[in-house]
Amino acid sequence: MGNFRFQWLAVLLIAACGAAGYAVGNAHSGAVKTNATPEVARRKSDRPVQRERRTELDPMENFSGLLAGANRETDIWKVVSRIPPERIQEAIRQVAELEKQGAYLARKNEILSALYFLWAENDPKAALAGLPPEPRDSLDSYHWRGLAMSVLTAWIRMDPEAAFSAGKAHANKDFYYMGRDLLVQTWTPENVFQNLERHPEHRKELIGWYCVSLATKSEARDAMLNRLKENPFMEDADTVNFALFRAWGYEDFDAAVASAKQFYPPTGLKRIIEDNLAMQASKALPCAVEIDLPPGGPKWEKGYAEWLGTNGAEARGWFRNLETTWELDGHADAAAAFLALDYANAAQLNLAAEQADAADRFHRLVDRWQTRNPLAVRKWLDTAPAAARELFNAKGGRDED
Amino acid sequence: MKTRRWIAVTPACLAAALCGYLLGHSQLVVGNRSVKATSENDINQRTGPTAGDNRTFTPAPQKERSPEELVALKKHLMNLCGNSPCAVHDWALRAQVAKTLATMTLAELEGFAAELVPNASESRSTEDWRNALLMLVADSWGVEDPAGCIQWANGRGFASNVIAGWIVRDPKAANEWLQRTDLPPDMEKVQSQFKLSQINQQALTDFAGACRLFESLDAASQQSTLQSWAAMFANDLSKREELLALIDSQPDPKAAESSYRNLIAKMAEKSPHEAALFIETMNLPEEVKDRLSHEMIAKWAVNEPDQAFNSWLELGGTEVPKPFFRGLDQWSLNSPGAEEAIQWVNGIAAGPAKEQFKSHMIDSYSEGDRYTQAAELSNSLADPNERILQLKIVKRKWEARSGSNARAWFSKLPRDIREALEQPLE
Repeated sequence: MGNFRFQWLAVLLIAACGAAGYAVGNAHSGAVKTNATPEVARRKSDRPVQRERRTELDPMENFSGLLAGANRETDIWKVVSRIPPERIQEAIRQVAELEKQGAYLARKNEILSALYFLWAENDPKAALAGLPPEPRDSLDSYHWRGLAMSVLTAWIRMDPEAAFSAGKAHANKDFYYMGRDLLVQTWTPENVFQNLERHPEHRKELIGWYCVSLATKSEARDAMLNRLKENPFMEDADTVNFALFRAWGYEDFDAAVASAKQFYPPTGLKRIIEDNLAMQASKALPCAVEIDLPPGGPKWEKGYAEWLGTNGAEARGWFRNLETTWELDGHADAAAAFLALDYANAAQLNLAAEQADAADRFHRLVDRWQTRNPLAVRKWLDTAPAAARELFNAKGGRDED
Repeated sequence: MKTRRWIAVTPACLAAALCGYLLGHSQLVVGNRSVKATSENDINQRTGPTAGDNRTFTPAPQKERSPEELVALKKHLMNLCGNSPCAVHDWALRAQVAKTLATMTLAELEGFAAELVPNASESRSTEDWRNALLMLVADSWGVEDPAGCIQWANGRGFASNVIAGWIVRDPKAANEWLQRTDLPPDMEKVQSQFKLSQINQQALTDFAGACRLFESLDAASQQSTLQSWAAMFANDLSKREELLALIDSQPDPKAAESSYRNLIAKMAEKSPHEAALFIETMNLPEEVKDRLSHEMIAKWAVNEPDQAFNSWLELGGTEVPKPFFRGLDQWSLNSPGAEEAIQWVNGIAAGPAKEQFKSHMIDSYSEGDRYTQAAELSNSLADPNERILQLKIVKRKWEARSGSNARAWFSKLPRDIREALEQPLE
């Protein structure tokens, strides 16, 4: 009997030790390393307080504190997501009411975005219908679009097809565009073509916008490029090429150009470069020269003016080597326009030496051009940069004709 | 004998405890991996308000990870954000990501932020998923180590969010950091940004206290604080008197006018009528009142452009004030505003103002690819020389964009105009 009791007690004791060891092992597993820093220790001691607060505070009272900027809580979703579904609209009305009273709400747009997201999770149709009309002010309209995107994002997470259809059926066409752009963000290389089958009437548009979304997703973009390489005549190849390279060029010009040079038709490469002449001139203008695009025109001038504004010395250094070539190649108009832009930029920044140099080179070039073709010079001046007319008239060019 | 029997059990107990410990430890690691695997599979799965445990806000302990696990974890988070319809407005996702980020060490967060931060030449939209993820990483890092995060974020474009969060969460600690004198010299800008955030935050809950603090600011900070307050509290009657007194006390009249401009613009957003009456009660020189009135009309024009501009035209104005063009652009850059604006400008009385409105619209429309409308407006200008000049400018821009469309439109013009376009202007 005594032996039997001992055996039981021994088994129980060993089991208890095992259980205790398991509990300690489980609890310590993640904390072994993290306890090494004092910040972690602080965070751990903070946490139970947060959890207690959750049960003690009324969610609407907590929300009012967030609106007033009186809460120490900075996590908007932590506050908003605790609002019961039946009181979400009341919370939205509270924001509007406070604004009407003239109160300044520091994080109003983010708070409203979270509220509409929560509403849409619970009742997407009502949330969509409950959006305020689009404001006319462009900044307000931008923030309003944020709310619309919150609703559509929540809905797409739950039921992408229903959300897309609702956007399509909406009287405001913007909802269709937003729904389309958000929907394709969720597509992956594995399911994109399967998803396209569901929208035969929007196929071209959706695959185009899917490719636009790849500008910021390198792996998915590579997958699409490989598909194109393997099957250059695949359905929608033109749309895919156009949209993918255009968006990628805006995002990362160098990488897009390098890839396009490998397996994109020359017209496509030209388009990427031309698209970026005005916006990424320091990269696009040298590329345009490299592939022998004829210089000149509004985009070249806009781009060069932009480049002068951001890095004048670099822009001037690049153009100085081209001035004579352009003139000899029959592009005196482009060279004269660039010199006029040089002059205007130097004048604006009080760079006396650069200003004088640009004026001198402009006059010499225009004099030579005028000797060859005075009518062309006069016609060009009508639409040339304003500084060109200023320089020309200052020297009495028109009077000389 | 009995004692010896119990001694014999001791190694078994120790062995059981050790096995238990190891089992507990390994199960958690396995558990974490399975959670991760499930989440990977969840990408693009339908979710709903009850999906997941992302609103329990249960703290997650930091994990010990191998370099490979860390790479996999970051990739997982990037996939989650990249495949969300819109990571900025995907609040459920943000909570999920924040929970995972809370398991990362400071060094891991710093490394992740460095991977996500855009390079100097890159411009990202605020809706870019990488930007959204970077902000979440900064939030997480900022909660754990705001001072370190701010120092790192200085010059990388997101220090202001971390500063604002710290001031709200722990104003005392934030203030202590701000008072430190051993900060690197390149932190001066951040410090001044910090002070402004601090005083703006205080103004929300304790305006009188913020006004006292205002007195201790240098002139430049006072100026920018007042500009902010003028916009923030323009419609808050409880603060208006004190606010106006502060603006009036500014020694630089230009600085004061700039604050008044913000104030009037915000008032006009709510009620142009009230803003107009308010301007009349102000004790300011007439020319300043005129300029403020123009600001009010520009804001009014956002919602009722024709009424707003007509109210000014009725007074016989001849030189269109510059702020009006902002209002005109907001109205007319997109349809149906573009068409409404054309109808309006064609209907107003002939005179210099009409031509100035038209010239501005021609420029904006041709920059915005509305070439047909720009060309039609050019062709309706009163001055024949100006008409040809504007037609030439639009033609050049249109041809650079779409030669065939431009040629088709210009070929329909009367012969004398077509010939004039081929000749230099007199």
